[in-house]
Amino acid sequence: MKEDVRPYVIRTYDRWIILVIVLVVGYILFRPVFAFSAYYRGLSFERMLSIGTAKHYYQRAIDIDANVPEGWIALGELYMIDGRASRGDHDRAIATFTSGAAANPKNGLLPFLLCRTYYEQGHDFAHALAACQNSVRIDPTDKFAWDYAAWSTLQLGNAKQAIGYWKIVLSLDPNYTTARIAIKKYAPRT
Amino acid sequence: MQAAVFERLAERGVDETIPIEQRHARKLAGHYRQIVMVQRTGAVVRLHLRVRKFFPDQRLDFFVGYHRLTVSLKRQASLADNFRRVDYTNIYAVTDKLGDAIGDDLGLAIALMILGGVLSSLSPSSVPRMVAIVNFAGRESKTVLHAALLSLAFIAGICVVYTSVGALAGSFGQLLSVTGFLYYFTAALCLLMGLSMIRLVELPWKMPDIPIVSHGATGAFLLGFGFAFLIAPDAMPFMIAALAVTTFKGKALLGAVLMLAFGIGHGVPVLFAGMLAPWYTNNPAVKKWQLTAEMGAGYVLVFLAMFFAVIA
Repeated sequence: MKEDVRPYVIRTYDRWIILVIVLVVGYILFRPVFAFSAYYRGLSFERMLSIGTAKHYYQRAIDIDANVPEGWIALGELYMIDGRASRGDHDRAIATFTSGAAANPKNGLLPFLLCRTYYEQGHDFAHALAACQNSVRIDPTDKFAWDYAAWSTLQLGNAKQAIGYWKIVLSLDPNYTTARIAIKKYAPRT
Repeated sequence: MQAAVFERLAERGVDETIPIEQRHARKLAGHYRQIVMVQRTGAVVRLHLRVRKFFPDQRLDFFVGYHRLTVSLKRQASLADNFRRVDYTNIYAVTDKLGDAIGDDLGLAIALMILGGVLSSLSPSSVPRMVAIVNFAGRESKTVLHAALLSLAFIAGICVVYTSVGALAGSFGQLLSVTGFLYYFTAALCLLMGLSMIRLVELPWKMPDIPIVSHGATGAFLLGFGFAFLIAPDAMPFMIAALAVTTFKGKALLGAVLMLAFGIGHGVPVLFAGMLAPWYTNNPAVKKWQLTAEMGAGYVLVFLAMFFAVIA
């Protein structure tokens, strides 16, 4: 039988050392999976209409890994929906989408949802436009973001620019009825 | 609060509105997304009817009125088309489609539940079950046939729990609310099993050796019964779709059948793992690597314990 010539600490605690390495490296590597699983649990609770618990798990998903956008989106959407009745929830939706967009700069949906919240609830069209422009910069194929950018621009008084945005919407989806109607309605008559 | 959920669900299906929009463009203005939800999800419509009294909102009345129309439109498309269009990365869409399939075609629904059971059984969260049956069958049986019988008894234990849950789904909301405890329980179990397999701890207690419950088919059945309570997150879409049938349609038998199908699907990989147990246990080549393999599995189990504790 071979003699174990490893240093004493390694010889004595090798399994503990391997265990710590497995846990630390595993956590670092699989953190997005952990975060997505926590989000998934929140989704299960949301489907069972247990909204408070769902929010708890969405928040946990964010705490585990802020670079997984699903938790931000889900939590922000719940705040956004409640934000129609509560100013506090509206502010929380704004904060959630803003932080989420900062943590996930390649995700176009978060700035779009921020745009929607500003537009539909806060009626803050300048911020809505900025958020939608950020969204279409990240994902130029998002017809809904272009549409909201158009409406925000129109509300700010620039119908010509809005029509330009709606034309982009139609180039992405020729069947987008509201864009076609809006162009007809707001295009300057010659 | 439920209204929030409706809107949330409604926002998931913008792409399927065109048939209705073309027929009733004017009437649907402002109700776009709610209509989509009705079109997509029979179960959600019933959910809506159920809580309608809490939200006497005109919009809700509106989309109940159009339910018949949307259902007929949905049936124009073939089932295959219906499934081809699903966004499988979207959990809402998958669950909704399962709900639709359950409403439309029982045979397909059962097949989907079996498939869901197989898939969820292959996920990492099912490792403790596999370890349990392999250990048990390896210890108890010498032949593949006997190991298969024990594995079937183990699966029967799982199926009994799932079938009961399917039949009693009305209270499933409560079950879900305690799953935090179940996750911690699973984590503790994985941790103990894992540390013991790495030989870092020696479990100090010995289970009382009562022949009828610790050996043979009865022991395997009881083991499966206990392990069935480890609800894994990957099983949720299938379970929720099936349980929605019982909860919202009030069809306890159908819910039980679907969950039984899920349990059977879940048991297929378990059966194969259990059948091979005597071979693992008695093969000299395998024996040579047994300690290393056991320790590797132990590390995986401890990692899973951390996973369950983090997401609990």
